Amino acid sequence: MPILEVIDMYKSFGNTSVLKGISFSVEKGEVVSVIGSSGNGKTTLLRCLTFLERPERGIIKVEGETIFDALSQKKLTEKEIRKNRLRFGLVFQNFNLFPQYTALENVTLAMQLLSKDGLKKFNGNISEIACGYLERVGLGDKISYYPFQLSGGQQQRVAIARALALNPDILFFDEPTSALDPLLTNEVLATLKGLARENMTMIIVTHEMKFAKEVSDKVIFMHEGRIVESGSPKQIFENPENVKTQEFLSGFIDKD
Amino acid sequence: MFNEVTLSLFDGFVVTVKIFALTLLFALPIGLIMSFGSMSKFKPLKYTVKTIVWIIRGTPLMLQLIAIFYVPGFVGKWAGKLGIENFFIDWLADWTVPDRFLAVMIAFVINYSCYFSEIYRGGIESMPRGQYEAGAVLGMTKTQVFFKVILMQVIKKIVPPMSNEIITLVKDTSLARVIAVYEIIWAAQKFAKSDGLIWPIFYTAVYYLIFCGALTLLFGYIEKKLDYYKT
Ligand SMILES: Nc1ncnc2c1ncn2[C@@H]1O[C@H](COP(=O)(O)OP(=O)(O)OP(=O)(O)O)[C@@H](O)[C@H]1O
Ligand SMILES: [Mg+2]
Repeated sequence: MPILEVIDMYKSFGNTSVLKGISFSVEKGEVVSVIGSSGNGKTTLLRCLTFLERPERGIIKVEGETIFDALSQKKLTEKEIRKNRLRFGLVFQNFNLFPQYTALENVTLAMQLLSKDGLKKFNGNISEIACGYLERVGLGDKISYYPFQLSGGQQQRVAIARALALNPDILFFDEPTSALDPLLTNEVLATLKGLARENMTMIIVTHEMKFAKEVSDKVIFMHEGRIVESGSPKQIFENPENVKTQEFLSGFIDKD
Repeated sequence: MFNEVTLSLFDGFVVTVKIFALTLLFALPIGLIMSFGSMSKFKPLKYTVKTIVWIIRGTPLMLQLIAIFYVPGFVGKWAGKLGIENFFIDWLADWTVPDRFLAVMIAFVINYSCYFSEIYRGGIESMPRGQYEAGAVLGMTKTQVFFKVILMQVIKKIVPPMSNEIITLVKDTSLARVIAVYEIIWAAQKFAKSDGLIWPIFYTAVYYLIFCGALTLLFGYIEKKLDYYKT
């Protein structure tokens, strides 16, 4: 059974429809890369999955259980949204760390609130668990640094630790490296590869084709609000069937 | 004479500080509530608040003081002439004489609530959307996001404009003199009338300068305290 199933999702802003019937599924432990040129709805898709936007149509299933159906659930209570959100983690393009908190506090803040509200249980001391995640992303020695004292790559890794610490079923990444220069990009990509090896289920929107080719189990190509082609990296990168996929990928040939 | 003036001015200064402190006590929270009103998605509320803010910020505080002081009495007397009589109307008709200080407080609180609400609004609206969204996807409620993530950042942002406004308030208290509330300027003018002394008027500057100086130091200290992080 797929861990995530998205069925026929539609989203528009005013008159512009951005998602026009998105369906796909993700198996447990899979790494799925979402590629496609600018403005084709990749971010919007992740925002719909994390309930930052409300799609007009579409069903989201986690492990076979429907957690959201746009047609039958016009209004969700804050509590329902909160519960649904905890199944997913989202890492933003521009990190969005909380500037007034240290790296450690960035990770522990939500843990503490969720454990106080009885929405998550953590086995053991929250600070120690959080330190563990920061070590895992290679920042064990930076736990008391404030975001402004960290490089972009380090900030993004704190953001990854912060998302991991809530133990989501799936982690979403929206172009996690596009705000970083190449050197810092590599350290974040290395962290992602580490997570992939540990069988973390991930959906990664990325423009790093080489990375997508290396770590993905599946690649989804989006064009104008639709998934026009998806398959193994080998299939997509070496033998794309759709003309749009071919056009898009030809723009990356010399980069690789 | 110098001692006598100093003590007398100090009596007036106590009233000045009282106007200052009470205005802050009420206007700081009321301003925050008004800022939520002016950012509300509910249009009638939003535009009501915005209109009030426009009127208050668009007219002199002195005019507002005079209006608060005289208008209720006029309304009361006019209502009395129409033959409407009840406790409230009587109270309005008698308004002018006993409630000078109350009139000052009402005018100052309304005026400063409007200015503060704009400062809060500016601070809150300048917060990047990503901060709310990051909190939300971590499973925090809107209230938790506001108090745990946004508020501290807003405070850091608004300390400089707030300190400006609060220092202006110190000097604005002298407007209370317009409706004959006894404060430091009034205390000094008394000497001009009775003893023909002009220097006490200028002596009041010392009180203002010390007060504003202390506030400047305090705000500098707060700014420094909040300087441990950058956005
Ligand atoms: N809140 C919004 N209001 C109106 N239009 C929006 C909104 N968010 C996104 N859009 C529009 O939706 C379309 C898809 O945007 P989206 O950000 O999902 O694209 P993307 O594939 O992530 O692009 P990029 O690679 O540049 O990040 C764009 O045309 C954008 O202008
Ligand atoms: Mg995007």
